[in-house]
Amino acid sequence: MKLLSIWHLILVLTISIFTQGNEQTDESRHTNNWAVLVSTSRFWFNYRHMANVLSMYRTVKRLGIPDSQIILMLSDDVACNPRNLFQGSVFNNADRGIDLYGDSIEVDYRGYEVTVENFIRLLTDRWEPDHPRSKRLLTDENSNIFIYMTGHGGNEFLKFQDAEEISSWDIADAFEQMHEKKRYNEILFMIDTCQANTMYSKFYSPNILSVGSSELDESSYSHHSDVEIGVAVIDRFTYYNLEYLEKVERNSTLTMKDLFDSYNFDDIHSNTGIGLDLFKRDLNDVLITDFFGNIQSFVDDEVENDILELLNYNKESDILDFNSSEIENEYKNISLINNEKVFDDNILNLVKISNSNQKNNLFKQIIGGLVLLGLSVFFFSKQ
Amino acid sequence: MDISRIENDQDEKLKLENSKRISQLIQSESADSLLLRRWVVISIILIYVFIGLPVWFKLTEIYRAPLPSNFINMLQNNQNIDLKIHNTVYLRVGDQLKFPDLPEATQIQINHELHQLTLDPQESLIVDWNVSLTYDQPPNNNAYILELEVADSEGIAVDEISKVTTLFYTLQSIKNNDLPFFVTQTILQHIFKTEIEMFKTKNQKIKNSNVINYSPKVHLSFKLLTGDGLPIDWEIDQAINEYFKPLTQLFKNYIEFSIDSEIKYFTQLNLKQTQNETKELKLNELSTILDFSDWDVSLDQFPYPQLNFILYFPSEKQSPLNFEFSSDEQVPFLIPQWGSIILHKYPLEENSYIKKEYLLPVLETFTSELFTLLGLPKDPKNPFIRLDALLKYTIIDNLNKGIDSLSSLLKLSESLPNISIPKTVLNNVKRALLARNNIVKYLNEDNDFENALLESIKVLKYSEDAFFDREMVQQNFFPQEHKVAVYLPLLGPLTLICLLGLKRVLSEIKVVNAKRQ
Repeated sequence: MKLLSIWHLILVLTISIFTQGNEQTDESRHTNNWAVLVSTSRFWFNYRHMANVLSMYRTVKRLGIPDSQIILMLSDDVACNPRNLFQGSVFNNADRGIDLYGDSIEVDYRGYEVTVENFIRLLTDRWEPDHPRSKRLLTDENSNIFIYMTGHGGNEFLKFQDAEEISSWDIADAFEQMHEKKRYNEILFMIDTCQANTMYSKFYSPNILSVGSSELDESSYSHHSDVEIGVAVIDRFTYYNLEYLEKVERNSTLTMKDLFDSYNFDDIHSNTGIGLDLFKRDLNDVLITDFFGNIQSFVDDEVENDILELLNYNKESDILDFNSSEIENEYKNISLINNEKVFDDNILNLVKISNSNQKNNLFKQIIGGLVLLGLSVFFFSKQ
Repeated sequence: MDISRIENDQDEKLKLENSKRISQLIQSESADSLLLRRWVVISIILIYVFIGLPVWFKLTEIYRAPLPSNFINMLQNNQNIDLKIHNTVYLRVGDQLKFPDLPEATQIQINHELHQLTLDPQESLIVDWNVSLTYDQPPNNNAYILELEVADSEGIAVDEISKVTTLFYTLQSIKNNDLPFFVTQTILQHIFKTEIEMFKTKNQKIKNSNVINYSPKVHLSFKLLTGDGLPIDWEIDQAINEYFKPLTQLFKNYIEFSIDSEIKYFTQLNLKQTQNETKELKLNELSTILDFSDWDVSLDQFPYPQLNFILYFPSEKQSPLNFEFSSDEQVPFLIPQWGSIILHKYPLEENSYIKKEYLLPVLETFTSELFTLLGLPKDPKNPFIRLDALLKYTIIDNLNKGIDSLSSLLKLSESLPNISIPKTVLNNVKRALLARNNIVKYLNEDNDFENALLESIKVLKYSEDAFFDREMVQQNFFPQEHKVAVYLPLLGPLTLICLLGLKRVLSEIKVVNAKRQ
């Protein structure tokens, strides 16, 4: 009888698993938005890549994604470069209307921290345990992620900092790991680099919408130079994206289809590509703010007004039941953490760490001594 | 023509010289040393091929710890197959009456009702759930107690502050033998209704998007926000000490709360200033009017989730706020997975001091929102029963999430054959599975839900640690096909020397053979 019921349960479970796979939805189910913005090239003459990425930073911030949900990777700081005539500013246009660097900017990875390894670690969330929370991509199955990359690239690769490169396969595998661990709802992958459309060609995980600036064997062009800055200030693809996105407000109903329709060869000078095969929803239903904004919803929740009253009533009756001093003691133990307490804990931790460091050092010193001794014995015995 | 002939001549000359040189060398050396050299060369090549290459291949192999894949797959395919959630209800009969076979009779009905559920795949429970009745003395104050009392008519009273339920029955119902049915109904339809609902298969798909993921620690941050810079204060400390502590006590076995409070000034609303002051605020505009990213209120100070509870007063300039959706002077809102906000219509006056008595209804509202954010069911009214249901569900949920992570890890290791799987991953997988075994023990043998919860947190933690192991990043190793390229600086010179030595020995042998003939 028992065995029968177990088999029954298995049957029911397998049926339920099959039925679960059949659901389909049309409007986005995300509850939070994240953005990962990466500029991979160094040096002053790549000013435009910094401007590209800051254009996107400005847009997502303006449309409501908080800094804690934006991961900004800047491999070089052109705003404070000595060759920058306008210190502390980055402009996207020779008219210098919009200062992309803005008043408050939070760069999460800068300079030599922008590496392929860190980028992959960020996507897969594989860090050492003490990696700061603000520098991690803490997404879940309800997160829409906007990933923007710019730099110098080629067929299926993107160069990082003149030192290494990331291939389309690397990103595809990272996305698959994110999908496997349910770390995203949908991804918008946008890339502005030469032969950009090859970068998303190897992706195989579902619910990824990709946009690239140029086809295979095609360059991605810069828009124009600023005479006083002395270099090209922005790439064409990003320039026209920004131009369109500046029109979008938080409550806008414009869709990704509208954005993609605004691309044309005369403006961008290269053939933009849109990777749709992994994306199930109709672009007409995908709002631009599904990826570029963070619409905070407000729920008019039904409020119960007597939970604390019930509990407080219970407290009184408990005191009647038990020894009252015992109760008081228990109440004292409740952790009402104030900042001092947290600070104390940190100090304790630091002490612990330095202790273990000392131990390690001692161990290392002993080993070093032994090695030296061995070498000298060897040396003298030879003589 | 000429040039090529000259080159040919030169080639032949070179060859001749070479063989001459070799034959000279051979003559200068004894036959023994020649033989010795041959052996040396051959043995080096043999060592190179048969020892060196395999050792190199083995040592540069990517380490992939053997994961217990069959067991994890089995767990993933038959979720909770070996788990039992078993509740006990302690019966108390008043009025000097005795029903010795009431537990047995009721148990038959309960089992029948629960079996009915398994017939419909949507209604079936994801875990073997049952409840039993006994006349034993309850072991602690936290047990479910069902009191039977004679009354004029049948009725049920679920106590709101303890886990005691009273069932009123008439003597007529004893005569009709309806009492087991009433008890079954009370238990399944009232006391454990929510719990059963939570475990139903059909309710697993719908995930409430308001609810944060379970974490054993949660930070609660109470904030008083005002649009102006006028000095204000509030008695939040006293209010929390007095009213809120029983709640932290209630949750102590489920979540440990840390609490802080803060006053923030100059938090303006994103209103477009118009001449017309009485512009109505619409519900769907709120998300643009309230801009949290500008207020700098969510801090990632703690390594665990934070919920924010905000009491908001507008500035003098922007008030009164004209809510289109409500005529109240204060309107509470729930912000999914983030917290709650109470908007006031009118600003605070200068030097306002908010008394704790004013904060009591505010805290009541926040508590209600907190319940929603933590995923507590809406009914029954009794918070203890609600928390109990959630606690049991969380054990199973954590467990399934953990097993899900492990099976994701497994899929990952299969789909990426070049990824390394270090020992630490295997250890974490083993720890997670061990914790799972402990849960089975705590649930099936001891009915100890609190310890089972602690173990389920471990399952979750270790399985995530295993999946997010920092060594498992492609940049820490290189694919097998790149191996030869990477080691070419080592292999190249070695191979070259070996091959040249072999060639030399072969040519020596040729010359010697030619001489013999």
